[in-house]
Amino acid sequence: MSNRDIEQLVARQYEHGFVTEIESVTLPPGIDEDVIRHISNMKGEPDFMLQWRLRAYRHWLTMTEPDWAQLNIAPIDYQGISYYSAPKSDEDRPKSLDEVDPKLLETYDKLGIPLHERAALAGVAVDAVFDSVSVATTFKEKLADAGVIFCSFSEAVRNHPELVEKHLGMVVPYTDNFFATLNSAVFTDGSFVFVPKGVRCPMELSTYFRINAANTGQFERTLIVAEEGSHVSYLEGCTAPMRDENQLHAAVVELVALDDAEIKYSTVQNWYPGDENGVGGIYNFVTKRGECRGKNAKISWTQVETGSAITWKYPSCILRGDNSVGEFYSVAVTNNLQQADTGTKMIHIGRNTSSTIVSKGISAGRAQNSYRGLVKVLPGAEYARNHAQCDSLLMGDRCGAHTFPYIEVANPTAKIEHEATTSKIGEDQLFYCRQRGISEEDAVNMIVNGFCKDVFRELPMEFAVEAQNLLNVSLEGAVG
Amino acid sequence: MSAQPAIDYLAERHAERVVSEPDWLTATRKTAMAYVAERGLPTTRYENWKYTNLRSLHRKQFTPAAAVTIDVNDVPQLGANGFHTLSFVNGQPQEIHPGSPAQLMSTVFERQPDALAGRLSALVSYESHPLAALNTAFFADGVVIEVKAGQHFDQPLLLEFVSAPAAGPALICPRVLIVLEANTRLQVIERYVGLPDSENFTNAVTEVHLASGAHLDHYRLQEATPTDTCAQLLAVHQAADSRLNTHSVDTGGKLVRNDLHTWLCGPGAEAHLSGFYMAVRTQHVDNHTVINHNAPHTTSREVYRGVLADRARAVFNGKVVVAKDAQKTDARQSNNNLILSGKAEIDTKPELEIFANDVKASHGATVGQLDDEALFYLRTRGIGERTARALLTFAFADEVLAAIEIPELRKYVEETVTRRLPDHERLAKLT
Repeated sequence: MSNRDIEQLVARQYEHGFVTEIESVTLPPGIDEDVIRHISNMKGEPDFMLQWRLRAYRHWLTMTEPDWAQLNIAPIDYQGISYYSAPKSDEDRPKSLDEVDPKLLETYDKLGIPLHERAALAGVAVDAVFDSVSVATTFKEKLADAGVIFCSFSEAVRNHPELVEKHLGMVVPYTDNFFATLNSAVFTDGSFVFVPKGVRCPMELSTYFRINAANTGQFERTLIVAEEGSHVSYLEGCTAPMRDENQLHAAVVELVALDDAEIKYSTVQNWYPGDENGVGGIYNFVTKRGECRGKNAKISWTQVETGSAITWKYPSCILRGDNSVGEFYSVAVTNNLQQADTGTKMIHIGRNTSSTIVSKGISAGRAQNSYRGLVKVLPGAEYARNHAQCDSLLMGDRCGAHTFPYIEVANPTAKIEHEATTSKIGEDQLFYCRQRGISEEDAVNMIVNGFCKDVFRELPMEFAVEAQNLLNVSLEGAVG
Repeated sequence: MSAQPAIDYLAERHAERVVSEPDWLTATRKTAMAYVAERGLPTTRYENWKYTNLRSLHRKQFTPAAAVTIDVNDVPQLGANGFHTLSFVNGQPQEIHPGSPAQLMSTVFERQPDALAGRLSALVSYESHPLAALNTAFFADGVVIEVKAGQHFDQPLLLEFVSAPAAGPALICPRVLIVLEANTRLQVIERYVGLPDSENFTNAVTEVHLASGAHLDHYRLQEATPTDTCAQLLAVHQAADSRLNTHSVDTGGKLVRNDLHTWLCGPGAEAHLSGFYMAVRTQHVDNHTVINHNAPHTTSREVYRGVLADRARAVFNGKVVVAKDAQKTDARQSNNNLILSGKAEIDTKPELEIFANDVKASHGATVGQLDDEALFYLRTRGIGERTARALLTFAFADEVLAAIEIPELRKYVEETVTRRLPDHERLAKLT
């Protein structure tokens, strides 16, 4: 592919880059115990939440930022971040979509995800997080009929404090790691899902996150609890407006699956990756972990990571219940100066547990893309089974692709296989497509999509289409 | 040993023995000693030492190895007369035979004090291998092997490092420098062997320079006693079209750590690494390899296999780094582990770090057990289960051992491995 194409790509503006001007109540930058008390107070939280936040904050003060990832992170000024920003209309929040600020709806329109239409057409309930406070929740009644609780985290704290208190921090404790601990102290909102015993959630649940209000870190907290025999599929998708400062995004996602429950968590992440010189872009430092607490439980992570300047993310499964299953399917695309250090951890504790890892990394421009994973089989995990496949595709001679798989096996009945390959797009494949009259660009898209097929197959239908388009856009002109 | 008094003590004992050394070496040793004094031994907080804990060494007061006399017949013989042999007992060289490509370092220092300046320690980075600093600070004598262009050695060179019981735990620091000039070839066997009841720490460093077209077959045979601690760094610099074949076999030792670093610095350079480790009871064997593809058109192949039983633990960390301009690199790596029983543990980490795009790189790692169907097949042929298991285990190991090109050595290694399998008498008849 010629230089012209690359220039075209470079010149391409971030499609979703616009800032919606909505008046916000924003705390001045900085963090101390007063800020945390303030956040907790503004959200009207019970005392146990405040105490938990304060414990996390005090612990956070003793921690240092991790530096083991294959990432080059510019220093982050934690006192320069404002930890709370909420739309001003907090008092009279909309009761239905009609009452939603038209500007907000416009924002969703620009993104191509009209809230109501999408919800109606795709049968998806949307709990949209606009910055830090939920402004619209739909399909509540339908879910309520089934007994499913799907609401913003703040609502959950208000209406179901006993459930929150019981499960919060059980999978990702507030001492877990630097960013998760920070999140525990200052998280403002997120989603809460509770699927009661034996219920199959009648629709796919979805949250669209947007980062808005310049200079505001976004700290979501998501907690999904699937009781015995229940089933839920959760979609998370993200886009962000264009801006120049790096934005820290440190989310925590906790999943709990009891006996025979199944949780499927899918993510398409397309935050602003920074411009071609690496200016701006989101820092995406996320802790995601699911625990298969009961027998025959299953947790499946699927992610398509195309955005963010830096991605630091390891959706993991703790396979505690006997016969439990963990899955991780990932496509991570990095272009220009993007960096990604992502992978998974599969911790086998119960008997007959199995896990599957399929990771596809695509690196273009001057980007660095790492897979980092751990498969750990504890002494009691009889007959554990794991298969891991990590492939990297390189486009351009200035990018890097790295693989760091840790395998720790302490049980003689375990069967563990790990395979990894790194290569560039096959010239013979390209040539074959070209001589069939397919343009080079289409051929590259075709080959890349084929490379990622194993992962896209795992995505819900509408996400799969979006993901393919995202991939094509992200990589356009990247092959030379 | 990280404590300053221990270092001072070692340094004093060392100073008493070293009479005259070239100034450059004294300076090199000082730097190394300062590093050891400052950093001590690596701890599990170092990523490269995550799974291997040297704590057991801290408790012991090591002294620099002193001369001990042993009966040569106590050392199990490799059973090959056709080798140039040079033996060290607790770091002290035994007689050297004429016609050998090897010279003692002390002799070289005496005759040409500056011959090795700038070459010794050139490939050693204390940061990536802190134990090399300990060796550099305290090695007593070493071996220099130089093959000049046009020189030819048919017979393999056998370097034997014997660890014998001393007054107290001894620190033995074997040091080897191998320089092969253009288009020469050599086979070198480094054998680490111990006498019963020794409790020594053998900490070896071998540096290799391969000029263009040079070809080294390096064998490392470690059969120390189950009370000894062994560490080795093999660091290799490869010019264009050079070839390195390494074979590493570990059956002995209590705590074993091997580091192998090679730099492929010219087009056409190739590295073929193979390794086998067998650990039983509470043995701990750790293999760390790093293959640096620094030039285009370089090739590497790596196969390490391990068999673990009882409470043994093995670690494998294989890293392949492809530098920015090392296009057309072809790298393949695999690590297979067989866990036979009980509470054994394996920690394996094959790593790829790739900064060039036109490359083929792959790695694979497996952990598993013997194939039930293969076992069943053998049993239908009237072979008892124990023997069948032993036979299949041997077959698993022999995929690597078969690559040993020196017939006597291969036979010896295969027998050593077989002897450690259950039912080996019957197995010997079958194979």
